[in-house]
Amino acid sequence: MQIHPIFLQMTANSPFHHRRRLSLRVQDARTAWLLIVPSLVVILGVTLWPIIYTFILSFFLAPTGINQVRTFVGLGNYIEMIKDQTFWETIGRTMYFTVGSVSLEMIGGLAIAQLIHSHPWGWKFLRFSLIIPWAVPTIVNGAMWRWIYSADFGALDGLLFQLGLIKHYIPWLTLPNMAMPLVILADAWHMMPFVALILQAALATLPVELDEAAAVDGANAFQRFWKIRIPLLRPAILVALIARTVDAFRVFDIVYIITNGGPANKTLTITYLTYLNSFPWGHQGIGAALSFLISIFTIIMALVFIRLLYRPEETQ
Amino acid sequence: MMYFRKLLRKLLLFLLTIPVLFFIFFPILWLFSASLSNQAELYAIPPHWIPQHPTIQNYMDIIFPSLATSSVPRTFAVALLNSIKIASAVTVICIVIGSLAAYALVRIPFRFNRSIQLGIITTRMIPEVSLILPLFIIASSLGLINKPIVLILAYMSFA
Repeated sequence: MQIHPIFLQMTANSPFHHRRRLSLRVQDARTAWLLIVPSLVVILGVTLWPIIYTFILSFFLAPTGINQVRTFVGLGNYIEMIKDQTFWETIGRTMYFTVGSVSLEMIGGLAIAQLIHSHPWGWKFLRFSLIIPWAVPTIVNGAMWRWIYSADFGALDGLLFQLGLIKHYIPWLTLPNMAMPLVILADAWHMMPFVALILQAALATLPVELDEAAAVDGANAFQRFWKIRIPLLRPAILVALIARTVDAFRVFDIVYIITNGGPANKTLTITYLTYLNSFPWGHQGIGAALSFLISIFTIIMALVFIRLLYRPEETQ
Repeated sequence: MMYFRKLLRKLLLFLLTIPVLFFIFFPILWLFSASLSNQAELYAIPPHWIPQHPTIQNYMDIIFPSLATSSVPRTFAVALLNSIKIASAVTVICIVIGSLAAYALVRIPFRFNRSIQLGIITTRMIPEVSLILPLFIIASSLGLINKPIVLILAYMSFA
């Protein structure tokens, strides 16, 4: 026997069916929670719990070592930290590194992306080559650049020497004003390809018609780049910018490998100061205070960035 | 004439790619060349860009350490094994747990879906260094710290 469509429609609109659908949704939500809970437990275990722990620890004077007693000092650690000149210097230096490396990587990345987009000879090989620096682990990258800057056998000295630009090998990393730019260069080698790949992929998806129309209207290559491609690339640029800024702020391992914060603290970043306080210096209380501040600051920064990223989607 | 201009443009662009390729490959090729050099050649001034007496001794030293080699290369096998152990454990756990969550977050709409996604992205941005001290004190087992990373990768590529 065939059921008339009207009956189906009636059942679909009946209160009974409505309740049934709701309960399905509840079931769905339950399944979702069941699936998510394991990872939530892991994430809370390795991030939220440590943050709470550092928060508590930051109110104590906690020297490392056997038989060391923790004493409650209230905001003492924070006050000591704020009064410390080094703390403010490290913040400045972290900003220096972040602005320097991110701007270098964005400009260089955009230039490389545009170069690939123009399809010169060997552009496919160039695009493939970009993956190489990115695939190198940060620690290996740091060790490699430390070698390149080495005063004894460094490739940088070797290259400049052979080109006749320098007479003697220069110990680059001991020059106070050169150390940070050199660390930035090492970071740029590592991460510029990442930016270039993102932007190149975005460039490739832009409609060609716009470019051609502008060309017909008499726009030169320069105008087409600034007035057409850059505005269209904005979402991709924003993504790359945010990813790189957050990453650059967290910089630790590359500084640790290349300069150890030296010379004369010239590359001492905020994360490195945290590490020094926490482990080698054994001031766990101050280390905890710094850790907590960094975590809170990053969370705020992350929320701001996420808002920036999600906004264009919401307005569409 | 038109063809000539096109050729000129191609040539100019190609001239631009050369420094980029040099910047990318020079460090890594130099590292490779250095790994094939012995101590004396490495310290040579002016530098030997291509070792005159290439040797694979350095590689032999780390793969088949003898008593004559220093302690650093001798730990290579142990270190490699540790890396493999930790990496595989972390990867397996993360993929299992992470893909479950990723599926739920992407396919099932429910109340706190979005807030959980935002929360996960946010935790990804906290520097490892600021978590290491408490984790060290809590003395959690090694490699645990890496767990969220793969989860987020899985999540990001899904979304």
